[in-house]
Amino acid sequence: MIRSNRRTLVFSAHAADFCSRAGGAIARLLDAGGQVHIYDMTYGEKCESPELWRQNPDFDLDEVKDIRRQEIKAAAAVLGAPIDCFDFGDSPLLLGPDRRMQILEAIRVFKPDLVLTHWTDDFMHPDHVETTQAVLWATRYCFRPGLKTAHPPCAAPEVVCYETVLGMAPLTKFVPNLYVDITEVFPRKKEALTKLAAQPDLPERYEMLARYRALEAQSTASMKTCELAEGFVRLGTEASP
Amino acid sequence: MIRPGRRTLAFSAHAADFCTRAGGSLMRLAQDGQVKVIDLTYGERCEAPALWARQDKPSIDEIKDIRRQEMESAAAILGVEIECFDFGDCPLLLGPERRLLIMDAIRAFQPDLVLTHWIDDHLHPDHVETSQAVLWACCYCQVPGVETAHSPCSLKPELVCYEAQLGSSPQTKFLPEFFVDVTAVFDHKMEAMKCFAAQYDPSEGYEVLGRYRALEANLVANMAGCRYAEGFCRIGADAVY
Repeated sequence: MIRSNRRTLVFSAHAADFCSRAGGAIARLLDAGGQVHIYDMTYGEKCESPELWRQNPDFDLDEVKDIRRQEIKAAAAVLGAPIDCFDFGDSPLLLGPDRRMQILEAIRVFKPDLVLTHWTDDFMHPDHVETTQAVLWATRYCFRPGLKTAHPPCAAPEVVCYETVLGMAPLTKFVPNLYVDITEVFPRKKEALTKLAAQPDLPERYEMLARYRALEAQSTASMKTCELAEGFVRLGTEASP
Repeated sequence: MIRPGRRTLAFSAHAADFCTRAGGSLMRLAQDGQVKVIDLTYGERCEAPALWARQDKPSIDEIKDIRRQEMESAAAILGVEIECFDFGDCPLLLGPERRLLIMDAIRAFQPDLVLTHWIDDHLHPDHVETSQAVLWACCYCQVPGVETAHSPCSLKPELVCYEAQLGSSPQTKFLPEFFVDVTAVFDHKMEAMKCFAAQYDPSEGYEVLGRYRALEANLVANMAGCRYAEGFCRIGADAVY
């Protein structure tokens, strides 16, 4: 997955998803000389800002969004990638025809050869599934001229799913088929995670996950020196041209 | 799985398998029940790397002696009885006579719960050989036409598989169906695992696994306070009377 000069578009349902689940891979893709752009569908203002709602149950939604906007900008800056948020509103996140066309247009503008998004069967967090379904739809039709948006059609990118909700793998059958060694970039990922202070548990929990995925990487992918890893599921088979 | 008064028989291919994969659960079962562990081998060839790395290579019998002491020390910490069939490891092959010995051990102990390796643990074929033979013995231990020294069991034991080889879950599709909270006994499990010095102390990797499985238990089994868990797959469905 990590090659030089890739153009990678990352789609996440909520503020922090890109960072907790694929932050290390994003850092590595950037270090390899690629372009990465991140799109959050929402700020996760309602369902993924527990610390803010704990501090003040009567928070104004716009205030929560402002805080989260600053957090995602800071986290993405640590990784080194630009980020935008569609602000579609979370929980329920619903992506109808107009919003799907916006996602498709974002793909045509950026022309990625790699798209990262949620696990297709992440059904215990329905906002995630809604995101994957829409992103998958957009990547499967972005090359079709019959679908008109401001930009011309582009080639279909490779689609790779990052982690399911942490701890949900046995239920949602998230079984990685590729691993990215993030040992060297992990300090950056962890620093980025600390910027997402409305979700204070992220750094510790995702470090544990990375250590566990590294054991899998060692055993099933012969990545003997890998100490911290991110696991992914590539949609489609491996190509040996 | 944990109920008072259970009679549990655990079968492992090599010296340490019972301890690393089910040590916490066995200790909990032994606190209010009978637990016996049967190792089919000492893991003298394939699971004693620290001994084989010595300048002055020990003989197979010396290795077996060292491993016997290791497994007995570990079993004592967990509070379980242990025995080794010494069938010889790698390749561990369980033909008709050995299968009858395994069945007779079941008939002698009369377990209502049998623990063994994951049935599809194909990256460690000795494990598969073990689970195949144990599965066979559990399926036919009630049948009078299969004669051994002890009379047929009146009850078919519940059969539960513990973890696949560490890190190989994605490959062998070991997705836990239930979790046992081993938080309260985890210190003892760590101490027991450290007895297996011939395996370069397996405790570090299994501590990560215990934490990761707890994250899964927190989420998919609502085990909120669990910090260390062991994951299992039951052969057969959950019974609700």
